[in-house]
Amino acid sequence: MNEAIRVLIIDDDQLVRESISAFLEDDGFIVESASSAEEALARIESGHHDLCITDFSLPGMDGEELILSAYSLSPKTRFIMHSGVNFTPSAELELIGFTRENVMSKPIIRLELLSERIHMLAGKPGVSE
Amino acid sequence: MVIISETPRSIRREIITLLVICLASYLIISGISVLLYHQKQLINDQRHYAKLRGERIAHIVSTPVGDLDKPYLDELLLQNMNDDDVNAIVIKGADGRIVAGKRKLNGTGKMADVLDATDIPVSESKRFDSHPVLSRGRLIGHVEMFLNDEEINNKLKLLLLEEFAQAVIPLFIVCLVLYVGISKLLLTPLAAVFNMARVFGAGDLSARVQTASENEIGTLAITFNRMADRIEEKIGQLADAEKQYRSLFESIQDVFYREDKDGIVRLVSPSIEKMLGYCQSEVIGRDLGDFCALSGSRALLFAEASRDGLVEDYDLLLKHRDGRIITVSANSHLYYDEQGAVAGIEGTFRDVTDRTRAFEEISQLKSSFAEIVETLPSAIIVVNGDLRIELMNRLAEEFCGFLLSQAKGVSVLRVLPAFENELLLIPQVISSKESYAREKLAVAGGFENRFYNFQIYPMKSKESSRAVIRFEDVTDKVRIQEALLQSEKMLMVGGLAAGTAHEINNPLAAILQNAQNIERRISPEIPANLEAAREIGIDLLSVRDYLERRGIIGFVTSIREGGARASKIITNMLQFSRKSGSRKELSDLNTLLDQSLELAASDYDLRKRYDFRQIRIEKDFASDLPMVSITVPEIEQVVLNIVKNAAQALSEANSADPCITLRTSRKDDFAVIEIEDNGPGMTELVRRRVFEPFFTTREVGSGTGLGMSVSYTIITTNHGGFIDVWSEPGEGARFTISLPIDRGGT
Repeated sequence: MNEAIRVLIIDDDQLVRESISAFLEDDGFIVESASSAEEALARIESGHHDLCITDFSLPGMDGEELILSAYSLSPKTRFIMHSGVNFTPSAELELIGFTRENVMSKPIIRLELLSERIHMLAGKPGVSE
Repeated sequence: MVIISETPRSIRREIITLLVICLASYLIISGISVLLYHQKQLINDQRHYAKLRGERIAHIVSTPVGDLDKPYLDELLLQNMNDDDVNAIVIKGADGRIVAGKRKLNGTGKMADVLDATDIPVSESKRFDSHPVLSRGRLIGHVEMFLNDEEINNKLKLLLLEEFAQAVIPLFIVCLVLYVGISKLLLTPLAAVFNMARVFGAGDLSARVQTASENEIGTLAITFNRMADRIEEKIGQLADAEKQYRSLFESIQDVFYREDKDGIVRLVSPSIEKMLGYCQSEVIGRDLGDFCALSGSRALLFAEASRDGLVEDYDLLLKHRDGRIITVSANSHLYYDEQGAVAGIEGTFRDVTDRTRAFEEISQLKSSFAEIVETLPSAIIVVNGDLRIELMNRLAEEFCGFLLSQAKGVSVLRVLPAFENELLLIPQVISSKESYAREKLAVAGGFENRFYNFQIYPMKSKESSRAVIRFEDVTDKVRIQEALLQSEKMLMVGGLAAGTAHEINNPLAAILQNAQNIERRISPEIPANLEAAREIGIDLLSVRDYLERRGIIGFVTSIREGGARASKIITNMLQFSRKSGSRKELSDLNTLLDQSLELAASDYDLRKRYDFRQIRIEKDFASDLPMVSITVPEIEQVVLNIVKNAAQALSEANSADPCITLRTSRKDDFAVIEIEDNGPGMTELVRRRVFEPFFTTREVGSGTGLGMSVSYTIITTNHGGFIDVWSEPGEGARFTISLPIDRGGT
């Protein structure tokens, strides 16, 4: 068995964090969570997260700023914007390879799709499902 | 009139001449007759006396012849020579020998003897008398007497003188009496009449003949006087009339004019000055054409008059001195000279400038009124108290489908049945003088209701009771209002949604996602579940069995589905708050269509109303379709709109095999999407209007009618493409969307 994908979930809503964490853990991901961008950045600095799922609306720094900051800290980390509002990637995000594929609307009706998306985006060579 | 100046004196002279001639003639004739008569008488007397004397001499001589001595004879002869008319007496013997003889010497009165024949004054003695001397019966000699006429002539002269003297005086008296009589009875009265005529003729109309006689002259004079009276009266009347006419002519407001056939003004009333600013004398003698504003109009007037003999109300433009144009109405006729030839034209000009202007103003007012009525954006119908149409404008004609000429006098109820209920109120409106108004009156028509603002106004004029019906189509306004209302509503919803989406989505996410977690965590397929169950010593399968038996798994599924449904509502609401002008990105149309179909399938609205799953979807996608630069949500919206409409049409038609076909292809520089259904299709009318804003075939209130027009805008304006529709009734409909391929794209 290959190394599990490490996922960081950032959402200020505990219920959201927990529901996704539970699902992804069941799917074999290594899941961590943070309730704010600042907390998330502190964790990302350690540099071992494959993918971050972040809400757009966050207290303090918002999701997009978080992604941009996190990318500079850890360029290998991939990101999914998990937002309740329709989110269109900005030009800056596109520059770091962020597209509509990196967007999932909240709530996620079928969490299996999230798993698939994570695998697709963060799929390391040899990581397969 | 020429007065013959002949004095009565000449008549007098003529009469005198006549009388003198008569007198002279009488005298001559009576003189001649007296002369002839007395001459003969005298000659006879002379003869007779000479014979007697000769016989006496012969008798005396016969006795003593032979015996008689010479002195005695001489004595005897001398005695008989006393008479003046005896020139000579000669006594001759039987042998012719002069016995004795005496003669008078010429002019002296002296006697001389006649000695021989040569002494006998033959030449003077025209009268010769010879008496025989008989003695006893025997001729013894002759007494010859030579007489002259002098005495006779003298006597005749005397007689003539006497005669003249006797005739001349009475005659003269007769002539005188005659002359005086004639003069008194004839000439003087005649002279009086003549004089009166002359004075009368000279202008003194009061002149009358003073006469007392009752003869013909008197009668003549009376007749003359009467005639004069009549003339005076007539002239008086004429003068009055002339005065009246003159004052009329002077004070006439219209202009009376007369021009000869060359157009020269011969007469014009003083009112010309007021009309044209030129005084009479400036106009008379000039060509009328000089005062006409248009050259040739005088000739036209003349020609017109020549044709009919007169012109009536002929409009003529004249120039005022100050340059203004005066419109006059000419009433003129030809006038003729004594020979009956056309002499010119005369008549009146009436200044109708004000009238013309007023008329023009009225007609302008009328036409602008008509224009106003015509250009009003409302339909206007004027009806009388019996609801019969008197007037309608173009919009009303269009609405009713009748021309005014057809509808005039027709009951408005027949022409405008759509508003029957309202029209029946007209009599009430007229009697109460209070207008009636309804707003947004719905009238069924074609595919859609139309809305009208409808008013009835009573007309205020006293003499007739009429009403004005005014209505205007406010359908578009109503639709816009509805749409505005709708969009306001949506904006509000959108704003609400945007504001609360995050808050709602999080608990929804917890519900939805945890429902999924529950489903997963009762699943025996997850190793962690089995492990946990084993740790607490229960059988996961039994738990699951229980949960299923009690329907708990179903409940959880319901929670998930309910959450999903709630989520969809939020998503829909968020659509209204989505900022347009989203950036374009290179997209694959095939994927987009798939996503759109997915959206359609999960579309709550579509699912609720129509069973989208019953519709067969066929896809015919080109595999080599290049990416196109589009705003994905917009194109999705367009596709969704068309698919929804197709689904609706198919559902309504209850088609046996409802099918929607989606095709993609490349045509030149365009990527083409075709969406075709096998539904009932559209009529030509609907097809043509399908992209019109607010056009909808659905019931009022069930749609904004904006979907297809928004789609049109998205494709053409936002993407520079084309959208077209093909449809035939019963043959389905096919929408074709062509989007330009970005040449830089792959």
